[in-house]
Amino acid sequence: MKTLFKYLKLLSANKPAFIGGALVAALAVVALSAPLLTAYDPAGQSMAEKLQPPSRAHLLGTDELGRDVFSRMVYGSRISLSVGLAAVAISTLIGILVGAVSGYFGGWVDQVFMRLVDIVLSVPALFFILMLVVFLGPSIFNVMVIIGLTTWTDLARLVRAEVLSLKNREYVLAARASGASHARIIIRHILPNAMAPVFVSVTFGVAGAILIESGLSFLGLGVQPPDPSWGNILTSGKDYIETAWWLTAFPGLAIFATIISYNLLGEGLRDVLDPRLSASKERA
Amino acid sequence: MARYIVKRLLLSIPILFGISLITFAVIHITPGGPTVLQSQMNAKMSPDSIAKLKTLYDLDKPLPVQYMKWLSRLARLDFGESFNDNRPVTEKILERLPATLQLNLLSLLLLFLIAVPLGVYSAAKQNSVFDRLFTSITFIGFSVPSFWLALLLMLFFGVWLQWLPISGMASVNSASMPPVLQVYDRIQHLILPLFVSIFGSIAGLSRYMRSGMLEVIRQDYIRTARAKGLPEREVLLNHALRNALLPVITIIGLSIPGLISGGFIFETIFAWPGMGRLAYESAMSFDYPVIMGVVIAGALLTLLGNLFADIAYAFADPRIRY
Amino acid sequence: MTETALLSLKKLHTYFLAGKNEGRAVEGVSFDIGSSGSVGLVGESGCGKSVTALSIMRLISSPGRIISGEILFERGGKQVDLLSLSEKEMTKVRGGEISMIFQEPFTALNPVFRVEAQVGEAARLHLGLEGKALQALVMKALYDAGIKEAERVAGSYPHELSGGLRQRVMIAMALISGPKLLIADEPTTALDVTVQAQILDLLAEIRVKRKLSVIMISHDLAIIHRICDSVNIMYSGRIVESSGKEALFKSPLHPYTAGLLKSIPSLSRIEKRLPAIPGNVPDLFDPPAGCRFHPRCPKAMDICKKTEPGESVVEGRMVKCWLYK
Repeated sequence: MKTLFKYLKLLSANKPAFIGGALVAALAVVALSAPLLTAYDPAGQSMAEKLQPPSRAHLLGTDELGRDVFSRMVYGSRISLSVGLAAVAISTLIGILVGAVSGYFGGWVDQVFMRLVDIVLSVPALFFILMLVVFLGPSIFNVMVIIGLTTWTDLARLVRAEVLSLKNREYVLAARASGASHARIIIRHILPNAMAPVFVSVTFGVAGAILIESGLSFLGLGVQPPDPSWGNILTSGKDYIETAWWLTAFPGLAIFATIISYNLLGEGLRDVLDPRLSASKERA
Repeated sequence: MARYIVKRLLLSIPILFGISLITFAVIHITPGGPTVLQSQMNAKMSPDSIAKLKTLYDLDKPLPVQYMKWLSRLARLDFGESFNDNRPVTEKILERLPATLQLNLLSLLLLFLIAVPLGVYSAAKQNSVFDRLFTSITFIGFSVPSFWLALLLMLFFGVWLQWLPISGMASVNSASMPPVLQVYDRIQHLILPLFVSIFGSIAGLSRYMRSGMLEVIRQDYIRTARAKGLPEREVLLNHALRNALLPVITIIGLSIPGLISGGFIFETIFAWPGMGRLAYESAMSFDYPVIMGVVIAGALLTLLGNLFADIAYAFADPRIRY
Repeated sequence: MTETALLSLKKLHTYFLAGKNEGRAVEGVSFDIGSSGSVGLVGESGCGKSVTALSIMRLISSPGRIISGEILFERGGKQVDLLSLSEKEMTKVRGGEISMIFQEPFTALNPVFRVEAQVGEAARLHLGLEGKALQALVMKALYDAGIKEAERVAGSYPHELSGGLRQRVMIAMALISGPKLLIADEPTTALDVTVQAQILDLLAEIRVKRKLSVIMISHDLAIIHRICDSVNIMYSGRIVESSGKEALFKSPLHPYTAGLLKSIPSLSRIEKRLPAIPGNVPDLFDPPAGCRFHPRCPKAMDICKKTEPGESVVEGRMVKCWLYK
């Protein structure tokens, strides 16, 4: 608990982390309080009001079906964030499991898992995702799972390297000598000490997952209308690019701001949690 | 060197094998696969395509037989025929390959030519105004979603300023133009897709280059080069750069799958008739054989790219033993 | 000695700046080296020997900085302050008039270039040689550095050579343009004992043959004894004793020198435990008051803790110690 406080203190002293963290928190608040922030139903169509530029009534204008863009974006944040977080939760789980098992047991287990990583890496990720989306059908749930299933490789390598460097430490050997099970040693003794780079990678991972989700939704292969997502609002932006600039500008800005917030937080976390990396950066 | 190349080729066999297994597994979680339940959930899957899939992937035979058949088809690069127009998938891919290669090779070239000098300059002027500006801009650079950047550029240069065309490889009437104008027309069509495809990568690679240079500059042999009386320019551009470029070869190799598959987003946006757009078109029309073909072709291109990168690395770094 | 000095350091100060703190790595170092003379700089690591050498070459990089002092060097019959030269002029001095060889021969050679190219580079820069003439000179330089298979070594990459060969390549590279002064920074520390002896023999031989001036940096007085005429003992950024070699080895004045001398392993005393000097070199950013050696000095007096001793001259030798006031 004490160390947690220490880290929080360091984090708030780190400018990028502070700004990024504040933005990430603000975004979460927006997503949670969506109904309080909007006057319009995000799916409410009104053909009389279609494609209106930003005005007092519709802060960010309306789309081709007369839906309020601001409402759709606020509700869209729920979907984009939850897809991003769920996908990262899945990929983190797989990444830690594969990396820890691979690093801890070594030998043929390690060989098999690392070749698996090589194979997954050699298939262009977006093609792979595209294929899975088509074969499984696009839905919010499928998109979460698919992104999670295809983005765990970097984390697995990272965790493996950490575990390799930790598994012969004295306290681990002591735990082994006292007859602790492999699972217990990994979970209680090794992983807690390997977490710093995981947190950093997870933070960057959320940014990446949101980027993939919005890209897929933009192309009509992710979140399907009428569910709002930043990506599929941008689809209308492309279709009406000649007449309705606001459909391109605002949702894109939201994606950009979200990604930059998570990236800032990630850089800050890396400086604070992973002194080795930031030390080399300082010296650099 | 020949031995190294052969060894390296042999190493990609298990990976190819793995790719065949993964794609085979994907076929079996498809709506048309043994779990019929899923096919009912996916309304867009017509009974007709289910029947076609069954024959294409021999879904009524026992699993090992299916896999052996799948493997032998892959070895022959036979992905079946498109559901849409019944043309062989291989033919459709080969037809789109040149456009993709053109865009990707040009992207790689430009990426290298722009990112390397930027990174080197920034490292040489560490902590200068340029360096700080550079660090912030590149940070923004890889946070910008490429598809949004594409739309903004289309909006700005295509719609508002009307300077550049926003889709396709050439104008509709390009065939009737004189050759010089045809080339000019082609270049105009290339600008936006190229820019979008490398923007994020420039940020990433130049940052990488910067930290690589800073790392190398601290090495003892750089001090030796300075002690010899080499002017700082030569120290940086000859002694430091040669060493800092080595990892860049690997990075460029690793960036190939991203470039190829990233293409599916901006090729679609700019209506660029490459493999990425083919993937998108076939995805929208549930043309399974074509999607499979594109995925595997993408994996093959990636393996080939990595192979080239490894060989180039072996050439460039005398310490590699083979 | 000043009139004939090839190089003359006067009150050199080189600091490392870290925020508000400054680490005074070299503080008021002065010494001369005559032409074809050889001077040793001796002390434990962290006492400022290498920083002094790099200051002469003006290769101190940020956050280090030469704060003040003069480095007078004889160029074309005139004494020139190296610190006042332009960077461009300085590149002519480096490798052309003053050369330096380093401790780690493996990391000091660029891994991606062949030996030939790295050795030849200095001659191309300073002598303007190209092509066949350059190649011939490279072969000669390698041969002069005691490399018998000069052809094979020239075409090799550094990682293909042994440590001893690599150090010989470094020496060839340093001497190819005919400098007047060679600074050797712990040139044998990373090598094993037999190779060490060969390299030292080579340096001793070259020094005589070429009438080369040498500044030898080492923590090992035995090596200094073999190469140098006079010795400067450094401690915590300053020279604490400066003396001719024979006198110093016979009767060290400064207690620190005495301590260093006792720690030389010699055959006659090999069974005895080496009495290393207890304690550590002081922190540059937080040195002790008074004489910087007093916390480790067996003869420390009250005054040593308060006031730093100035120079005393004893039988023509310089020492900074309250024992000689």
